[in-house]
Amino acid sequence: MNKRLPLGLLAILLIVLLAGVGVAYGLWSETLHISGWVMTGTVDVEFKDIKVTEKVGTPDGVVDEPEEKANAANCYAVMAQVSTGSPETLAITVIGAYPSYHCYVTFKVNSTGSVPVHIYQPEVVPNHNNYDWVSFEDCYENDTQLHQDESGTCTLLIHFTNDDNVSENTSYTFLYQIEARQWNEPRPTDNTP
Amino acid sequence: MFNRNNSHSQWKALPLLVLGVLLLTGIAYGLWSETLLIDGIVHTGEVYGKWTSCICNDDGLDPLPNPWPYTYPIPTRKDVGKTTCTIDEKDPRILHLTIENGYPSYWAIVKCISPTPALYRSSSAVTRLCPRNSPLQLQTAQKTVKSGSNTGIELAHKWNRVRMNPANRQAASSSMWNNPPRKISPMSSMYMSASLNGTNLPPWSNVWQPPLKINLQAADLRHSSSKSAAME
Repeated sequence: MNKRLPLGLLAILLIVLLAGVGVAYGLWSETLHISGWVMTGTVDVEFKDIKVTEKVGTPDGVVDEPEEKANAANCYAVMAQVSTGSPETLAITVIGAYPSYHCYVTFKVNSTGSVPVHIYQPEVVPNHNNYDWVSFEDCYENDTQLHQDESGTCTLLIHFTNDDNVSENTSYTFLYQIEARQWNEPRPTDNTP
Repeated sequence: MFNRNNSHSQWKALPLLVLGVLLLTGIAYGLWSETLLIDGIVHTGEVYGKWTSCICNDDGLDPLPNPWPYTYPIPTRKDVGKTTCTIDEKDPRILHLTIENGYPSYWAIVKCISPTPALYRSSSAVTRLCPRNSPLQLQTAQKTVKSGSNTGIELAHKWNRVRMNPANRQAASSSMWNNPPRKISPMSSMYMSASLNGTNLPPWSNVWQPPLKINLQAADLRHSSSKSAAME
């Protein structure tokens, strides 16, 4: 049996609904806004205070390179950046190296970004040469934390002996990288936060 | 039925897995870091030496043993043996030393001069240098010479880089290296130590003049048709 609502009842129901809508639209309201402006910080490190020292080994020990031998071998260290956005590079060139010649390149890793960083000691870039006669001395510890304008000092030493089987008139290349990570993101291998 | 349910559960897990991977990726990329590079290149130098002058003191008359070891009177000197030395034209590191008409007791002194016993050559400059802990050693050699012939002897000496053994190092340290450097001539710019038959020559010299004494010893030739010419 089909029952139909009376037409009048429908009309009344419609009026009630419209009234309800009217009440809703008639409600006074106010909206609050939260306007945000986030300025991100920077993780940025750079080489600083690069210094080259040349020495030679003698039976009396390692001494400063004599003045008259200064041009026999030379060591240069300059800042380089291949292109914008590429890693900042400390380019070291030694010409005329011979056994017992020492080239010390002392540099600082300076934090210029606003976000504190942890820096790690230089490591050979994978698939590049790893020579025993290229070493680092007096280098900052791994996980050294640097705030802005703080720096860690490290010295690269190039020195080989006859035992290193380094040939005459030959060129040897190496590539190291120094990683700086934001202070609260340790390396995956580290267990300490 | 069971497999179908299992398959359904795998499909349900897939989005979670993808979500998890994306989450991890997000964490990894969320790390801020920077890398500095140290790019190095080392060009090694070169040790190079060559003979530049060879002087023989054979003035004609052959020298006599001194002191005279025999009982009979000292004879008059004669011009019999002849010693000449030349530097190889193609390889100046080789010195040709020739004794003609040599005989027992004949000897001559040859001074070989190498003003640049050690050169470190770089791509930008050639500089005389011999680090004190890299002495050069003249190879000693012996050559068999047949008696009665004018066969010359050829001694090829090449500069060799050698490592100073601890005994030499100690001796050098105590007797030579403590001496203050002195310049022999304007060319002097090297510290030098050479070893010839175990004898260290004075350092600080810019010219190495090792006297090569060629001595055909009589005693050994007496019963033999051949003899070695020894360097002293």
